[in-house]
Amino acid sequence: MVEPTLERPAVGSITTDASEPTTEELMEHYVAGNLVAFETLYRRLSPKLFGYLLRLTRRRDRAEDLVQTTFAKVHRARASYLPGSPVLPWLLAIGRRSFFDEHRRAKVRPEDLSYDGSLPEPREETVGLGTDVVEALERALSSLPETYAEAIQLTKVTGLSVSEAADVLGTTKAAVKLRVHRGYLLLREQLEAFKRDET
Amino acid sequence: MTTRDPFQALARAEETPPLRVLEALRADMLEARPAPGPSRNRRLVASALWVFAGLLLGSLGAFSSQALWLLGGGAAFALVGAGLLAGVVPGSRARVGLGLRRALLAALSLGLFSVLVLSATEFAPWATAFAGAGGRHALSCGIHALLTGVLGAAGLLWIWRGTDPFTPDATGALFGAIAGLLGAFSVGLSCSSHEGWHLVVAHGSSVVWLGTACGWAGLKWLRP
Repeated sequence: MVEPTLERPAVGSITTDASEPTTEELMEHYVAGNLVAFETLYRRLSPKLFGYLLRLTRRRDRAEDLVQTTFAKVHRARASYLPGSPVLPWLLAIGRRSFFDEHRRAKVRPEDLSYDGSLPEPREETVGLGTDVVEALERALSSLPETYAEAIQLTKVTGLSVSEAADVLGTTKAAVKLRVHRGYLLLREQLEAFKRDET
Repeated sequence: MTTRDPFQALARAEETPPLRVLEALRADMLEARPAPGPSRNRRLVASALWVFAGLLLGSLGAFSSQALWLLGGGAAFALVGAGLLAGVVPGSRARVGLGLRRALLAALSLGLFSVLVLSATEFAPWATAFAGAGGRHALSCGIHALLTGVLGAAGLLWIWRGTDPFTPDATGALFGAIAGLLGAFSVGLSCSSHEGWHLVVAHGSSVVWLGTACGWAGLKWLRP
């Protein structure tokens, strides 16, 4: 496993091609009323938001609902978008707050009820590691304390800078670095156990 | 294993939500197309005007004797308040980090209390400072400062509602501190007391109360 570095360039300008508009340009077009720009923006950012919410909720249906809620809130708050500022941290912060709001309203643990809200659903198995390193990493991440897993998810999987992750989590850069560092230590323990098992 | 960084493999595995999510968004949100809210600049102007109006309203009793102070001080207060908001209130960007925001809150509170302590001519014994007529006077000044501050804070929270997903509590607390300063300034214009405890408790404590209360209110009102 490559030793991870904490600092990364900001991902505010996510593009796949130099000729494509940046996320910020798309957002500005959307704020100006261009709905095609919104759909492009949605297709570009929704996988990252969905992945993040999926890890928070651990349920596809709830994550899908939260993606919809988050974009609806972005739509209502679009006038407060500051031209040029990174869109993804803003979107993730709104998504994260929506998750906590929904979680508080439901007053249940996310894995306690089935889809129709009535039957207990089996808890996700997190004991033991999978046969593939990526799967093992996924499982190890799921077993970490939420604060560590979230910090690692934002900085390493979603690709935010430490500063952007601190904004999303509503904390300081130092706290994010500490959470990521402690999370790595726990992850390393689990992945080394996986490596031993594999050999 | 085909990748050296398994985190990147996790990132690549992220998928687009099902099409029905986008369709629901189109149907519920885009077809309705509610008008976008006021722009940031409009909110800043509205905040400055609100603070100015709040100060005038909160200091009506002192208007005849201190009109120049009131108008000049009110305008300065409104401009400084709007400047603070412009620099700190994030919108879609956390313009000032949480640590700096907390430092700003502490500086505002400490600044106010330092001014109040330095302008006091005496400190009566605590046991007698709020007894009898002094107590009633302190109560009326405290209510005056608090009501003016509540008016200011409610307006600021309303003007900036739904704009801060990052640190709504810290932003709310900052609104509360600014509104508390507004209350302290307005009551200071109409109260002639220079007793230290009276100034600190009756005039200045609105900053603490409103800062705390608006920190909670910010969580409710300022999030999108």
